[in-house]
Amino acid sequence: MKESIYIFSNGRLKRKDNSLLFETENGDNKFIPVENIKEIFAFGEIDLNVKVLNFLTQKEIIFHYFNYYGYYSGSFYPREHYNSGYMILKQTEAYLDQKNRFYLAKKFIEGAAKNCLKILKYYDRREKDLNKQIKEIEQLVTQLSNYEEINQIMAIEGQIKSIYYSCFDTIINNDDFVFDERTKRPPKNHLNALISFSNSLIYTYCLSEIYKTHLDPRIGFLHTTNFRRFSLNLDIAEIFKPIIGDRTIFSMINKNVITYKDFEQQINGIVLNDKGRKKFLEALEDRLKQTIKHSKIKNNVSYRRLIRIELYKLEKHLMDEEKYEPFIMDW
Amino acid sequence: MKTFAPSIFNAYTICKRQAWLMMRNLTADQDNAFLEIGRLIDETSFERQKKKIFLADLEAMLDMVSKKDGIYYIAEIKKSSKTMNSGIFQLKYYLYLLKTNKGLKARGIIKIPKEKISKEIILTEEDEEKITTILSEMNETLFGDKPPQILLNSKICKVCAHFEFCYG
Repeated sequence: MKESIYIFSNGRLKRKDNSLLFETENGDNKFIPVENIKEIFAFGEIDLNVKVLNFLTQKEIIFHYFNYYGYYSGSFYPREHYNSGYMILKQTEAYLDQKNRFYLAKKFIEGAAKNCLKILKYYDRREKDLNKQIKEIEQLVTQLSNYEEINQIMAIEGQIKSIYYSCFDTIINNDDFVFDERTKRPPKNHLNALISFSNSLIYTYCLSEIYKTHLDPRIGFLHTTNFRRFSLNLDIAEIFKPIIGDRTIFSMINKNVITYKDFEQQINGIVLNDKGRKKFLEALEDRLKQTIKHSKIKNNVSYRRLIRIELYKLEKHLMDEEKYEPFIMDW
Repeated sequence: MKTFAPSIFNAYTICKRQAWLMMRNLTADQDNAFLEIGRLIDETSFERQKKKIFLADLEAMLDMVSKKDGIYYIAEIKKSSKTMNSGIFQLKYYLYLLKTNKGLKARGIIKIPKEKISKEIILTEEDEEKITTILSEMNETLFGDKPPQILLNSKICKVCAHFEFCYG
């Protein structure tokens, strides 16, 4: 199985013969076996040159980089290697067809909401009283079908999210991690910092998976295409943010694996420190590797692989073969 | 009648759906373990003799070509005798393409390095008829809007790199 590589140190990434070499600031050399890399996440200050970028292209490796505060900065997305004019046309066609675009946008919201519900119900069974909020979200999900415009369903999504987030304090019940309100850029408290970090990682995992399909990451259906570079990964991430990211957050806080010591106050908000980031990535990586029995494939499939399968389902929808239905957790 | 790239022809004789996908360049997951094994065998066998020859107009990649007593021999290398029959047919299709599109009479050799098998293949009239029939069927199926259905619960699906795409 190919691995994700996470680089935290500062240094220089080099192409050395037919492999990658990372030279740290204090002169340590580390070879990175290039054939086994799925993608690289760079959190440190890293120098690299065109030779490395060419090499990454040749080996079809995406390079995601984050700034000093751990915020996602961008990705080096190598030249497409899965090319299909047919699929690009189908994807564009679906975007331009109001009805079809709307169908997909709604399905992404519905999938996200139903996965949020699964989580709330799980904790409700564990004696956290969330009955009221569950009812409210269920009510909103049924309302989705009444609307015919992206802005309207985005508003419903906003309401669902805010009810969902209001449950976090009940689920976590830890004074160090109060939710208060969702704050981004910058996150104003520890929990928000964790959510932001988690979400940005899930966006990048989705982007990496899109790279392995014939889909174009620039054409999303829920998130508007025109104003940013990538948007399809944001759409797909909606389905997986709760079941991969939020679950990891809850279990880490509730088991005291991550504490307020893993954060630091910066001039503009609160961010995870190096140690905190490492801990979180480790837990997230474990979650991604964890497998579940897939009801249609009838085999064990990792959470990471579920993202890819979701994209295949989308491709089949675009080919007008099978209507897209989002992945919903089983339990 | 339109002829097809040998890779698509070969895929069609195994799974029509895969051929339909390949026609639209919807290639399978290249990280699939079985594909990697295939690539490895391809890279490591017959290193000295092999000269891959790509005939662009036929979209055909010939594994080896040699000339003996004025006759061209086209060799096809396969992983195991399990795929022998489809390998033989694929080779016959090469011979068919060379004959109909280039007017070139050639013979084939099928080689399975792991099992030390090397077998000569010739294109009979019967083969040609069979190929023509398949080609006309392909012309109908592969240009259709919708992909042919999945061969549900078929054994070959389990080792196919399109498996998760079809069944997911």
